[in-house]
Amino acid sequence: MAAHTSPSQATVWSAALDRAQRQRDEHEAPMSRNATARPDMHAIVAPIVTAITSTWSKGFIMRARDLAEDYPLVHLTDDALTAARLIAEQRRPGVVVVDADGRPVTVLPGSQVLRFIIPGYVQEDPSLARVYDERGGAEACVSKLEGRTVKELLPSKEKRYELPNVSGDATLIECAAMMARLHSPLLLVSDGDTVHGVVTTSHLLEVILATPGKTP
Amino acid sequence: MSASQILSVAVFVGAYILIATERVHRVAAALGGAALMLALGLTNGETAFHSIEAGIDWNVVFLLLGMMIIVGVIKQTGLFEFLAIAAAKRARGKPFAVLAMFVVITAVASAALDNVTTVLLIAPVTFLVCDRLGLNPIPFLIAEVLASNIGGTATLIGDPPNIIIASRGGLSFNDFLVHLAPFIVVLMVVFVVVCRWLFRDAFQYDEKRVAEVMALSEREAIRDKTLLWQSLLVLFLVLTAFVLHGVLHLEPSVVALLGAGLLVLISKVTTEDAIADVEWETLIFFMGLFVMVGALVRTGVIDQVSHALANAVGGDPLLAVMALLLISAVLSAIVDNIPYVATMAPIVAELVAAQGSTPQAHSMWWSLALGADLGGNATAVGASANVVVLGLAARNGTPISFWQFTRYGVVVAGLSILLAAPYLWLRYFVLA
Repeated sequence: MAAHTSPSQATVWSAALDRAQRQRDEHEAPMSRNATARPDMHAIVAPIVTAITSTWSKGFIMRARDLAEDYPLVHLTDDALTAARLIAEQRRPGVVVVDADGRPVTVLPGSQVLRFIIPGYVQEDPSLARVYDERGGAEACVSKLEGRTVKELLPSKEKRYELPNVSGDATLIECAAMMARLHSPLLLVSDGDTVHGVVTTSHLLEVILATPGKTP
Repeated sequence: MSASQILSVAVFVGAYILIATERVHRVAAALGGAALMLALGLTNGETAFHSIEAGIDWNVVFLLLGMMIIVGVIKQTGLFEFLAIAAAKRARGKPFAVLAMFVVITAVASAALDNVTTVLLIAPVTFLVCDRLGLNPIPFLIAEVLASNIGGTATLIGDPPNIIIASRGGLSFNDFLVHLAPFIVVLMVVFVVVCRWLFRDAFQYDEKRVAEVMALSEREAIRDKTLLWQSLLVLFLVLTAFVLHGVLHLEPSVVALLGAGLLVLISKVTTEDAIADVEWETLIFFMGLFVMVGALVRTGVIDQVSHALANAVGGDPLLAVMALLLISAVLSAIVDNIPYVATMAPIVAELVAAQGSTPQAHSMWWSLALGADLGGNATAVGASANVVVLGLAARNGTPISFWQFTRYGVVVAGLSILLAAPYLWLRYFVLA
């Protein structure tokens, strides 16, 4: 479960995941039933392929809630260094930031953490970036996160990233379009107060590339 | 005054107010004013584009364009970062020694390139070095801006007002070196000494942090050694051609354009990258200003103002020189010195012509240059370099307020003018 989730929030996410899993199971069920009719491998695989193709040809559209998965959350008041470590250790593209009530506020991408720790003058001057010694540079970066909160890592409210958010019914391309528009590696899937989970770029691309007729 | 004179003054003053108050973008104000002058028939296409006296000064525009291209390419080499970090290491991180070296580098580079680009290049290294030494970068940045305006005064290409003065006064690169550079060297020495007192609270030395500066690798800043040598070769050729103007008879604008073309030709820099740093807005601003001032010349306003000023000083060149120095310093502190000099240049040209070709009369050009360039140091809005550094400082989380800058700027500008006045008097009136 999420590393920094309050119990109530964890329940919401757990429920959302269960729902998503149930929905996946419902889609997968017909395939399983067909599979039991023939015992050999070909007999097992062929109906599945047929079922998938048939489902797609019948106009089945994958929804955002089908893609949503569990994701780490951090609170605005959480320690910035811990949030950065969460991104680093779990190799995540970012984390979802929630307020005191557990409502998602924005997404904190890893690139924003880098933008905070690398001074603006170094970002703008490639020659200057080269003169840093690796150890000293890393120490300077870590020290910038010490004693800071996640809220301080975020850009000012006017410049803050729009929360990439779609409803559970959003289609694959809707999700992709939203993420492309907002340059966000994460997309929150929710309906009202119910959060279904988060769609990641990697998961979305995996599904897009696996569409019938295309070999990833 | 005739109706056309009243109209041209009204348009000019209106545009000037808009530029000074920044109610609209300065380019829009200058272009709008120029368009109105043309629309009202106060000037015409022939005069605006082809007249040497009352049209766009293409020498100024193309000299700026050529130098912007050369400087834009030099910027990509990492030379400044190399020099500044090497200097900080040589100073062994001692704050005053670092500041002294940074202001000297800034002043010399401002004289050889231009002051706005120089402060844009030195400011990021200053942030880095101060960050590493645990020092407040604000005193360093302010000292560098002040040094850039002082250093830029030394040469024809150092400060945009000098380019206008050179073109309108028919002055060469060497004239600036002979008449202004020696004074600027003295002023820089005084300035460095004054910095020790002015920024005395900023020099807290923490020996433990020196290692952090010594660990920086300045050699890594040079990204393309071939490009660096090509750029330095072209800059050397351009500066040599400026100095040899008397032999080569090439206008500074032609030299700068040839240098820019040569650099683009011999280096691997693409044309897009070479012109990426050209400040088109500044060039257009100059063109708009020249059309507006040209209309004042064409309608005879400049002639009348010159006569009035000549009468006011009663034919006393010393009074004219001192008044010009003081008025230029005060006005350049309040408004951008570029439009001020663009307006004053034709007036001074007439005053110099009226007094004959004497050293005393010519010293009015130096009085205008010293007043406008050094007066620009007085306030945060006095010169383009000041505005640029204030913007950089704010972006990097260390904002410099108007008064914070002005507190130091007024002292340095006042001291500069106090020293410039006896220099002009001694050199052109006592020892001439």
